[in-house]
Amino acid sequence: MTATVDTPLLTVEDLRVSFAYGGRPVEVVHGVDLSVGVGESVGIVGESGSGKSVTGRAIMGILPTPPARTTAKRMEIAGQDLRGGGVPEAGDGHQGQPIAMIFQNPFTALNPVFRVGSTLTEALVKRRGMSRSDATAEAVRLLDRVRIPNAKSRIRNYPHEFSGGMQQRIVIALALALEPRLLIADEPTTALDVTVQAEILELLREIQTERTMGMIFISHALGVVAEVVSRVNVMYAGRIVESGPVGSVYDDPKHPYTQALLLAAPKVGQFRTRTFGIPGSPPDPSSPPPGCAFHPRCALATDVCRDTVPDVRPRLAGGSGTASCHHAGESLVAEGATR
Amino acid sequence: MARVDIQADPTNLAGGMPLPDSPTVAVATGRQRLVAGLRSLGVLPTIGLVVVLLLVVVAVFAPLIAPFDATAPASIDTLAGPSGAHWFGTDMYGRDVLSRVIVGAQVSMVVGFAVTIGSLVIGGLLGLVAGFVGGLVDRILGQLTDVLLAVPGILLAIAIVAMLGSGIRNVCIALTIGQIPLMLRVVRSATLSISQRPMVRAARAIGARPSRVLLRHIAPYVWGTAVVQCTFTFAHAILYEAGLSFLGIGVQPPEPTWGNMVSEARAFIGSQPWNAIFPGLAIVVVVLAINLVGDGLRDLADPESRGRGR
Amino acid sequence: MLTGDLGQSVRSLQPVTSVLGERLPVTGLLAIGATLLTIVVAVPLGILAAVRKRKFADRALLVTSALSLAVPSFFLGILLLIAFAVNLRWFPVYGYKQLGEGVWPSIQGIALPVVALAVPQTAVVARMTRASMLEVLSQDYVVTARATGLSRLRVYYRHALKNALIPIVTVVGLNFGALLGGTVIIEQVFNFPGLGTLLINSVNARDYSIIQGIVLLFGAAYIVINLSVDIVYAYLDPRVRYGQS
Repeated sequence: MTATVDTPLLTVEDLRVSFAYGGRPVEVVHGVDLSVGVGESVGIVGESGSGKSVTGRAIMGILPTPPARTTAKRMEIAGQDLRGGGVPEAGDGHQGQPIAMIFQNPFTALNPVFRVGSTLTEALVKRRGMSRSDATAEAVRLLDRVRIPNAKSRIRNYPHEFSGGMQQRIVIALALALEPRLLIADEPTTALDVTVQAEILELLREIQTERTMGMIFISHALGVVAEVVSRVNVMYAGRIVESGPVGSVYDDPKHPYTQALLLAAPKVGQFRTRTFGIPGSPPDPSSPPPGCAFHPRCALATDVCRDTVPDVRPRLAGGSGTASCHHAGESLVAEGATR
Repeated sequence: MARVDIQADPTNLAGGMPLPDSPTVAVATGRQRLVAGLRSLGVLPTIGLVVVLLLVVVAVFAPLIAPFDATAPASIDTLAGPSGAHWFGTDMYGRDVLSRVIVGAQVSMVVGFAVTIGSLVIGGLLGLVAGFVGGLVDRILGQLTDVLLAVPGILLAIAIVAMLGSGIRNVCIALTIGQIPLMLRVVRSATLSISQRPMVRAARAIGARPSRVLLRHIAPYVWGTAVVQCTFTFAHAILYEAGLSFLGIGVQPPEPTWGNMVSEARAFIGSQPWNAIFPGLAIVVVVLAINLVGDGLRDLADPESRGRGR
Repeated sequence: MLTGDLGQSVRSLQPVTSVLGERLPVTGLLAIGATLLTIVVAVPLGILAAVRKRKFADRALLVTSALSLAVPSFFLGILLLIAFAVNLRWFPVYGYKQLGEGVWPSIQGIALPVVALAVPQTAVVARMTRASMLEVLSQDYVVTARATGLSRLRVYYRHALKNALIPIVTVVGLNFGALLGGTVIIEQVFNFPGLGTLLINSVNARDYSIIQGIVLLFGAAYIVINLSVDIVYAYLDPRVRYGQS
């Protein structure tokens, strides 16, 4: 696997997650490789149920175990092994934590019965070892940074007294309070209006540059991902099916699933007489199809797809990125497969 | 989770449209569903059901089953512990405790069924009307139930018995008055939520007579909820009757009831605790069995309540 | 009744209010003691069951709570007397006599009736706590708190519990009525001269003005408790506090 950034921050090899509810465990993430460089921003895109959120939560160490079970050949951040489970510690006492996470729904991500200031200072006191008064001052600074107006007085408000966009800013401030070297953003703008979405994306970009913080940006919206990341991983049915620099993946998708996703995404300024959808739906993780998991929905599928799981292979000879497809490079459109 | 689908809708006026789930409302109509329901009731509720049915049989045939006369001395040995001749021992007058427990089942069962049927008929009908008609009728009934529920159940029963006098009939009346508001509330809220469903709104919109809508489209769906509530009413009635008899203001001695047996045995717990323990255990067994049946029925009618526990 | 006082007892010819006033502390002590005991025992049990869902502690709670809801309070009281007063002699049979004779004798004297009152309440409140905690533990803000690296105990007891308490307070409040009803029977079992004993004596003596006074008093207590529940709500849930202004 090829990393595009010289100094790796996060390295994940062969991450597998399974869930056991009473009966036989069901694997939902089947050997994901992922790397994020220092200050680099990496995207994971896929439909709901593709395992992208589970991947993020597994790295964060917040999957409920049991029923979840996480294994990996390697999973480390800046040399620190993450495989022990649980939320990673900085290792050297009250220094925050190496990874922080923000979530999809800002309306439910903050505890409704605590003032936002109290939520922030609790993290600062417990995770950064600050005194109460230092923590309060720092909380105001953080809210200022995420552009909450009148942070000094707003700190005494409850979450429900903020708009959704403002609440997501507070969630970001809470993540920043931990001084993370990597931020995992799980669909952070999906629940927000388009204009608010743009502001949050802008804020994330700024903070990321200013702190040289790595970021994993998880989303189902390809356009949103393209705005914030330099490299993208396309996930389908618990596997990364294609990865590479965002420009080259979007301009020249090699995997039929990526091609289909891009065809299905609406584009501004483009008038279409018909929309394109991907026929069928993602497989049930408890009974995945044999071979390539995408073959039942793939117009290019041949016999080999039906019985052999494709290897991870380079997208382009000598270039960066991977595609896991027996027919990588063949074009869905050229085949006239837009049913 | 094994989700039991008993929400299938035989009177779907919404033209095959999926109906919004209403988790608080039990839906079960028709005999075949009852049979299917019993089958999927689960082990513990089935045991409970068997125990309750056994007790009904015991109560009905009590005089035949009881080895001795329940109200006359059977032994010169008073306050004796369990023995081969008197399995549960004898009481202070030398009466056979087992026979008294068996005959005492009659009072519990009569009160249980009378109060359940009474509150189902009165509370159930009032609840249907309140939920369906709404408006002033609903407000008045709501306020009446609020007032009745503000007084602790046993206290209300004591106060009513104090006015009417003791005896099994008056105990039944008092307990029914106490249980009506609970039944009314449950049936009312089930009726309200069923009334919001598209099929009912559709039936009303096409001009079906209100009485027809109520009986044909609402009542069958509310029935399941009411049956679940009935099991709890039954358990309450038995507990309250035992409490009143224990306090000496329910069914009077020498007629044996489990409550007045425990009460009479109180004075002798130092020398002969079994006299109090056997009738007390009888109450525990019946109430536990009924509650098991009720929990099983509730889980059947409302898979959500079981799912919530996951 | 309409004159504002509650009239007089037809037997003792004393004003009803002063007769009730004499007996109220005994009943109040039992009810408040039982409520405190219920909260102290039931809430941690319910949390334990929720956190160890489907494990031994959870199953044990479900079984014991089902059982304790089926035991009539007078029978439970008598069982406690048989076990702990008659056989083990840890507690007195007539506990009321020991009240006011020092801290330990008073606690000993009131322990059995309070436990008998608290057991069924504990079953209800522990079940409610379990359900409420399970609901709250699946909320996003609990995930946020965990992702912030806070300890499990802190997440359970600070972040989850404060939210879970809202329905628990409702149940405790609503059940206070049932608890008051329970005192009527428990006072008889343990020979405590409270309102319950007064009520039964009045029923036997057909002293209707006293009966009426007790019913009104218990009803009023129920209303006061419900008001207090609303106030506690506002403390627990800021959305309620601001929604009312």
